[in-house]
Amino acid sequence: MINLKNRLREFRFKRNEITQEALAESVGVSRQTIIAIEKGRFNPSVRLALKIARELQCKTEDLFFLEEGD
Amino acid sequence: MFKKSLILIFDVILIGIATTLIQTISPWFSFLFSGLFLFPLLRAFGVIRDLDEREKAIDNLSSNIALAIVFVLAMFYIGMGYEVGIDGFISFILIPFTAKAVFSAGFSLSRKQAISIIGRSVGLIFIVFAVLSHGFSIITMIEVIPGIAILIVTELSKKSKWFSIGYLAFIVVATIVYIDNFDRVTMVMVYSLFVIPFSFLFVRSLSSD
Repeated sequence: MINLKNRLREFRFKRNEITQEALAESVGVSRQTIIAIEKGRFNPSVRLALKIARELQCKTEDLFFLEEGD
Repeated sequence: MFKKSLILIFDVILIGIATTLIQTISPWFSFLFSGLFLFPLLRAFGVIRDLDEREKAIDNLSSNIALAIVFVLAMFYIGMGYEVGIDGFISFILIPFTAKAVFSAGFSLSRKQAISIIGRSVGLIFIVFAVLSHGFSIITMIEVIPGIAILIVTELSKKSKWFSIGYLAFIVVATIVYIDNFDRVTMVMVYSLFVIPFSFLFVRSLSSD
């Protein structure tokens, strides 16, 4: 099974340690949604993934990637 | 931004006022219930912030769960051969509304927030209902005990998963108390209104954040 993984937490800290709340505010979602994405419980749409990547000034494929799972 | 809990409180107050006006003044006040569509319409027209994509997914899921519960309830009523009077119709309003509110809030909030909001609401409803039924008396003092117990379990289960067993205890006690009284629609309604939140709280408090 292929799972969608992310490095959201890592990139948040690289980007001046932006908080979940601030990131949520800037991309127009709730903080719980950012938490759910970080923990891999929710897969964002392409639109939201692009918005987050733009906010964190990184490439979407660096932020989100596929990983072979069990 | 309008918080979901404020919208829920608005909806509950609206239902209370509308129901009272229908019973005391005129059935035409039924149209007050259309006020329940106020916030969804304000979101649709962009007046207030729309739900984000995860919240919309949860909104859909909780609506589907509420629909499934209504379907099961209707089948149960038919199977039991109930004469569905006013209580039956009220149950078809209250039960899906409760289920939708519980699952929507429970899935979209963090573990602690979900337990707090749902547990405290159920506990306070128990207490307020006891006080409104009997005023300030000895009977009230006895009847508020389950409500206080719910509030205590709610606060404890926020700290440790082990206390979620308290919700299971409430479900077992409610089942023992109500199971022999399922000859009336009202009993099924009251049982469902407590078991739906308790079941959700039990599972949610066992899960991690």
